[in-house]
Amino acid sequence: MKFWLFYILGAIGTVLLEESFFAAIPFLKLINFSLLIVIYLSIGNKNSVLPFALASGYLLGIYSSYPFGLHLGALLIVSFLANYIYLNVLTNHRFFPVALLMVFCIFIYDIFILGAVSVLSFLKIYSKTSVWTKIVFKNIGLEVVYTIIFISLLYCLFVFLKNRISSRLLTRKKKYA
Amino acid sequence: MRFVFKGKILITMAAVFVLLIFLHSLNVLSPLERGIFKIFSPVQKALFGAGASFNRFVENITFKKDLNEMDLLKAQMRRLLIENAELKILAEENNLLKKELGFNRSHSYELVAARALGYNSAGDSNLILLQIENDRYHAEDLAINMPVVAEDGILVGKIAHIKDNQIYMRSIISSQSAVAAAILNKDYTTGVAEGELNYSIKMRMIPQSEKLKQGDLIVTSGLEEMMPKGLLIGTVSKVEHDPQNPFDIAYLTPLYNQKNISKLLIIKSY
Repeated sequence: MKFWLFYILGAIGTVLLEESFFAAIPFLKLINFSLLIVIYLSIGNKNSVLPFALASGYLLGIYSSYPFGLHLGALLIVSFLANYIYLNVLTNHRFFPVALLMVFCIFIYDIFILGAVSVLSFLKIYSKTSVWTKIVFKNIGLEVVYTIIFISLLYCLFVFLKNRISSRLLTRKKKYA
Repeated sequence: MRFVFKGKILITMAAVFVLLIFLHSLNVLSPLERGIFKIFSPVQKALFGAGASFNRFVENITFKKDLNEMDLLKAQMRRLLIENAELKILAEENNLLKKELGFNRSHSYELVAARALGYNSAGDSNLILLQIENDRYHAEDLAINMPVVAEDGILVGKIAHIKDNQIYMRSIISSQSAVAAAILNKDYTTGVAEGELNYSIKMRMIPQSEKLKQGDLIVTSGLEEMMPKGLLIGTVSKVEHDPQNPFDIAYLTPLYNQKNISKLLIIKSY
C-alpha cells in the first residue's frame, strides 16, 4: 500500500509540475517528464512503473484537452515497449543505447497520441484538429533534442557526483587504514 | 523472452485501463475528477505563477533589461494604444451615429473572471487551461469561441474547448487561431488575423490599394459571432509587399505578452 501511495504521489507531483510550472519555461516545456520517468522505471525492471503510469496517465487525461484515455494508453504501451526492448533487444545497457531507446519511446508516444487524435477527429468523436503539420513535427524534433540534452546533463551530473563521492570515501578509507 | 510484465501484472494493467475508460465514459468518475481539479487548483495557481516568475527572471538575466522601466513604458504604451483605439472607434461610431439618427449602442459586457492554471498542447497549437474564479458561473455557461480578454481589454484568445469543468483557451498567436480583424486606418481595412507558430499574428488578403504603415492598430472587426467590435489585438510591425501578388501581408505584434497571462476575463455576452 505504501509502495503504491509513494508512486501515486510522485505521479501527481510530476504531472502538476509538468502542466503548470515547466510548461511556462521555454526549454523545459517541451520535455515530457512523466514519460521520462515511466521509461526510467520500465528499464529499471521495476513493478513501480504500474502505479506511476496509471496515476500520471489518469491525471494527464483529466488535464488534457484530448479525449480521456489517450495519455494513459500511450504511457502503458510505452512502458511495455521500453521494458521489452531493454531486456530483449538492447545488448548494451550503457548510456547511449538507453538514450536511443528513450528517443524511440518519445516517437512512439507522440505518434500514438497524434494518430489516435486524427482517427477520433475523422470519426467526429473529437473536434477537428490539425495534427500532421510541420509545427507538430518540429515540436517532436525539439522534444527529442531537449530530452537528450536534459538526460545527458543528468547523466554527467550523476557520473561527476559518483566519482567525487567515491574518491572521498577512498581517501577517508586510506586515512583510517 | 524476458519481460517484467507477466501474467498478473499484465492482466491488472489492462483491466485497470479498460475500467478507468469505462467508468469515465459513464461519468462515474466525474465527482472524483472535479475534486482533483478543485483540490489541486491552488497548487497549480502557485506553480503557474512561479513558472512565469522564473521565466521572467531568466529573461531578465539573458537580455539584461531594466525591467521596471521597460514595464512602465510598456504599460504606458498599452494604455495610450487602448485610448487611441477607443477614440478612433468612438470617432467612427460618431460618424455612423450622425448618419443613422437616433441609433445608440452601448457596450456593456457580461464578464466571467478566470485564471490560467497551465498549458496544454493540442495538435500544432498551444491551449491554456483556465479555471473560472466566479462562483456564479460554471463551464457549461460558456461556449466555444467566446473571446477572452486581459483585464485592460486586450484580446488574448478564444475558448477552444470545454471539457467537463475545464476550459481551454486558444491564444491569438497560436496556430489555428483566426479572428475577424480590422486595421484602424483611414479605410478601416478588414481581414482575418491568424496566429502563426505560437509566436506572432499575420493578417492576409489585404488589397494592395490599402495604405498600411508600421504601428497601425488592429482591433476586432465584430464580423464574427460572439466577438464584440473594437477589442485591441496588436499593432502592425511589418508589411510584406509583393508586386506579383495582388494582396499584402501584415505582420502584427500582439499587445499582450502570453508569458504574463494570469487573470483573464471571458466575454460571455455583449
